[in-house]
Amino acid sequence: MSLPPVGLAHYLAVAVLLFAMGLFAVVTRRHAIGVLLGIELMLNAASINLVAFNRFGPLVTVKPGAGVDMADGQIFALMVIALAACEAAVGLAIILRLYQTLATVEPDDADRMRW
Amino acid sequence: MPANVVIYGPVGTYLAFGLVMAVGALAVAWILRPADPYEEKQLTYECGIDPCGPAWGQFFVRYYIIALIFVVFDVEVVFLLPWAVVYRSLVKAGALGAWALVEALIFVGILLLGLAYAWRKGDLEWV
Amino acid sequence: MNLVQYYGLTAEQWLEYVGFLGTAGVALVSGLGVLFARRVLHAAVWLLFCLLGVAGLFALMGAHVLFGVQILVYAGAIAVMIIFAVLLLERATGRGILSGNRHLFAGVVSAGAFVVVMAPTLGVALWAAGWPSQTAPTTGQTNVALIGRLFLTRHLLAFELMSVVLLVAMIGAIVLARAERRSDAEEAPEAQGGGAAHVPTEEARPS
Repeated sequence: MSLPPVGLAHYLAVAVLLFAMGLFAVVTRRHAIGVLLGIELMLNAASINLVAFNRFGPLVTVKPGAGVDMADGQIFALMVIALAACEAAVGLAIILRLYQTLATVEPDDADRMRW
Repeated sequence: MPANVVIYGPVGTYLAFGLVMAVGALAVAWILRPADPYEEKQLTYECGIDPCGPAWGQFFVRYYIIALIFVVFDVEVVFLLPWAVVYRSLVKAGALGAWALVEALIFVGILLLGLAYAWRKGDLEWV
Repeated sequence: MNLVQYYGLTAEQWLEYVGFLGTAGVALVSGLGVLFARRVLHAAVWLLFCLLGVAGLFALMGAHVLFGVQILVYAGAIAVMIIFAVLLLERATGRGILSGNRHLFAGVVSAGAFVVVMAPTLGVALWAAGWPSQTAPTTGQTNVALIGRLFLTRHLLAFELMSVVLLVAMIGAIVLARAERRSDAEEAPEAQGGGAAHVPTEEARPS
């Protein structure tokens, strides 16, 4: 009996589970900040995927002569982190605003188009 | 080239020792200290005057905006760090040097617009 | 490097398993904390640990820059900003913010459907690709200089556009967060509605 070494499949499995947990949080959390946390989990799952494919995938290209790998997947993951910062900033501002105007933080209660 | 887990061995060791020290110190303190909470002791300390209501009220938006600006410029630093690392070698190579400087200046300039906006609108004032 | 193998793995590969299981375990267990913690503050702190676990996974994959950035920006700034906002909201309302879960059935169905669809798809795709762990061509080492060079050449447009995105997010969030203060500063605080307005406006005494 032999185990496979840690590889692409392991990381993708973690990413799938993390994404499913994020989805679950987005659907079920009653508090808007909980939903935001779920989105963060999903973004993290996505960046695990990007880095894992960059590391193991068939798309790894070796720069000739330089002895280093191209790091496109890691750059995408950097973008994901920057976008997560924007998303958290705007999302929290919306939640603060929601709380100030409607005195609620439940996404289900914010069902008015105007007030 | 050793595997990454070997490269990060010192980091893991450091983390483990840090956890043991922190948890150990807290646990020892928890075992040794007397615990006798009563209502007056739990009050917020305000120079001996009885505290009166939460003091935050309207201020939290201001603090949030400061935190927000910090996060945006934190991300900016992360994007500028790789640029700064390669900048010298690019200047030596000649071809991309001036161009790289212009690119970074555009990047910083666009973000400075946001800082200027926040400044102009008075969000950086400390009341 | 010793070539003694246990169950077909060298000692180094076993170590990699230990590291992987440790970091993935931290990430997934704290993910459960994010899902089910009663207090939103606790959920946000669980998210912090989940982010650190993901940073460990990045490190194991040789993405050293991302390891640093994840800790510095994600755990150090974004998660802290979220915790900060939760604390500010708690101070504004004067009590701990609780959050239950609702629509549990919908949540289980959607998350379960995702796993049920993705797991076989990934399995088949990986099987077709020949389980890439054995065929990993490199150790995936990258450094800051490589990332910087790629930013200035291949991903230049994305690099510049990211500053525009950050600018828009910053201004948008500032406008959203403080819209009321200027116009309603002289009016009655009741215009804000909700619990925050009833907080006594008496300022903190200098202490």
